[in-house]
Amino acid sequence: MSRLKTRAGWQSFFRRAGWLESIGIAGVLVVTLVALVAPWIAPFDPDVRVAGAYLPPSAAHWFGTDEIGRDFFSRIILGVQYTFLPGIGIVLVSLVVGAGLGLIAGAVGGTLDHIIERTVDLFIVLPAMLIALATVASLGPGLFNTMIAIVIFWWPVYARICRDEIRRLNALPHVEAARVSGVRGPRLLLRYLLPGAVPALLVTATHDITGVIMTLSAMSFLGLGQPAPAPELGAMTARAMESLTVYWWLPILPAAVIFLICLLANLAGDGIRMALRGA
Amino acid sequence: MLLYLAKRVSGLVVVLLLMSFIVFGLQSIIPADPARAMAGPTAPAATVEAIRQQLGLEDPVVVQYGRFLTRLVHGDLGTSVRTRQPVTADVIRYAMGTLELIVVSTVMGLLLAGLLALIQHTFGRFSAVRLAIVGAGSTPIFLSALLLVYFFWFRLDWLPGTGRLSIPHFSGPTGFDLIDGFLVGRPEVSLDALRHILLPAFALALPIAVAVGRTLSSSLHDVMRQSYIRTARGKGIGETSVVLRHGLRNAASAPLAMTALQVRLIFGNLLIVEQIFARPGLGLYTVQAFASADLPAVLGVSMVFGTFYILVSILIEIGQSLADPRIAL
Repeated sequence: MSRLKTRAGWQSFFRRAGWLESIGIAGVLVVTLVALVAPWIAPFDPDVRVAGAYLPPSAAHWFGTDEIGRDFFSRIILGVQYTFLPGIGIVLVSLVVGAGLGLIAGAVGGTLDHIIERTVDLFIVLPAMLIALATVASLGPGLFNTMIAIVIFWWPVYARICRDEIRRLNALPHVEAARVSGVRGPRLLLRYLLPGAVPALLVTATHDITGVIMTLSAMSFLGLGQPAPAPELGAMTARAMESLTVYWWLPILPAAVIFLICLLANLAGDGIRMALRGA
Repeated sequence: MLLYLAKRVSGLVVVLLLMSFIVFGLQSIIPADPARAMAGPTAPAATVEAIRQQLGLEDPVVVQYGRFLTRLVHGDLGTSVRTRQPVTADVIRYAMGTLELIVVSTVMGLLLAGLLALIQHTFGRFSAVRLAIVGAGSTPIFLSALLLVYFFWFRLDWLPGTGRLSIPHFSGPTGFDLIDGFLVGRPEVSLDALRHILLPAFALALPIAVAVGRTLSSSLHDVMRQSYIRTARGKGIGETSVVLRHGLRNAASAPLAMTALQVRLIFGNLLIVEQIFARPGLGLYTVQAFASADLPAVLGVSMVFGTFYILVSILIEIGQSLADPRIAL
C-alpha cells in the first residue's frame, strides 16, 4: 500500500483501474462531497415554495417543481444526503462488526471460530429482506430502525470474507516469521493479519454501496424508511408514483439519481478490484 | 440422494422454526394491538376485551408461541386482521399468480443472461458495452418498472400496465392463467395473461439477467482456456458443440449458484413490482399487510417464502450436481 503514496503509484493505480472505472471512483467521491454539503449547495431552500406547482424542468428550475411549488433539484440534492449517508453508514457499521468478528474467528480458531461460523451460516440462509421488512414493520418505520434492520443481515458477508482471508494469511511466511519473533495478541492481528484482508474487504464494501442503497431505497419506497416529509429518494418516487403519466419528472428523477449513484459505485468497485489485482 | 434429502428437509424445519421464532418475537414487542385493530377504533372496551380473550392474547408469550406452532403444523396460519379471512386461504388465492410471475421472470432472466454473456464475450472490450451492462445492473427495480409502465403502456400503449387479466371473473383449474386459458378452451385468456405478464416479468428478469450473465461470462471465460477444450477442438468437434457441450456444462456451477441467490432475492423486488403494476399476488398482499400492521398475514407470508427459498436452494444444488457429478449431494 505504501507504493500508492507516491504520485507514480496513484497514476498506475488509475491506469490499472481503467478510465471508465476511474470516473466511477472520482464520481463516488463527488457524490460523498455533495451529500456532506447538500444544504449549502442547494440553489433554493428545499422546504419552501419558490414557484408555481408542477412546473416542468426549465433553466430556472432544472428538475422542475413539485406539488406545492418547491424547487425539485434542491430537494433531490438534499435527497442524496438522506439516501447516501445512511447507505455509507450501514456499509461501514457492517464492515466493522463483520470484519471484527471474522478477524477473531480466523485468528483464534477452535470453538469460537465454530460458533461464529455457524451464526454466519444461519444469517446467510435466512431470507434477509423478509426479516428486515418484518423487523421494520414491528419496530416502526424510521431511519435508525431501517439501518439496524439492514446491518443485521449485511455483516455476515464481511465476517465470512475476513475470516477466510485471515485463515489464508495465517499460513503465509511473513506471519509465521512474525510469530516466531514473538509478535502476538492484538499486534499480530492488527499489524500482520488485518492489512492483508483489507483489499478483499474494500472491493466487496465498494460494490455493496450499490446493494445497500438499493435495499434502503426499496424499503423507503415501501414506506418503511424515514417518515413523510423527509426528501428520501426512494420515498419521493413512491409518493409521486400516481403522477407518473402527468408529471413524469416527479417519480422518475429521484429514481434516476439513485441509478446514477449505484452506477458510479459499481464502476468504482470494478476499478478498485482491477487496480488491486495487479498491485 | 435419500440421505441428502433427509438432511435438507431437516435443515428446512430448523430454519422455519427459527424464522417463526424471530417473526413471532417481533410480533410480541410491537406496540400495535391486534384486538383493537380487529374491533375497530370505535368499539367499546368490553368488545376489545372479549376479542383479546378469544385470540388468547392474555396468555404468556410462550403459550401463544406454542399455540401458534401447533396450528402451523396443521396448516393453519391464523386469521388476517385486515381481510378477516384465514391467512392460508388468502395465501393460496394469491400464490399461483405470484408463482407464475416468478417462473416467467426467472426463465426470461436466464435467457437474457445467455444473451448478455454472449454480448459481453464478443464486445466486452468496448467501454460503451461495459457501461451498458454495469448500468443495467445498477437500475433500481422501481425505476425500470416505472419506465416500462411509462413507455410501453402510457406512451406506446403496446402492453397493459396493470392487473393480471382484462377479462373479469376468470378462474381456471390450475390458477396459472397462462395455462388455464388453453385448458378450458379459451386461448384468448392465455394470450391476455401473457400480455399482462410481459412487463412485470421483464422488470424482475433484468437484475437476474445481469447477475447471472456476468457470472456465466467470467466462468465460461475461465473454462474455455482449459486444456480439455483444446483437446475437444483438436478432435475436430464444431465450435458450437465445443462451447455448448464441453464449455457450458463445466461452467454451469457458478451461474447456477448465482441463479439460486437471485431467485431468493426476488422477494423484495416482487413487493415493489406487484405494487407498481397493481398486480394481485403475494407481494401486493404483503405490502398491504405491512401497511395495516396485519402480523398474522406477515408471519404467514414469511413462512411460505421461507419454504420456497429453501426448496429453490435444494433444486439448484441438485442441478449443480447433475452438471458436475464431482459435486456430491
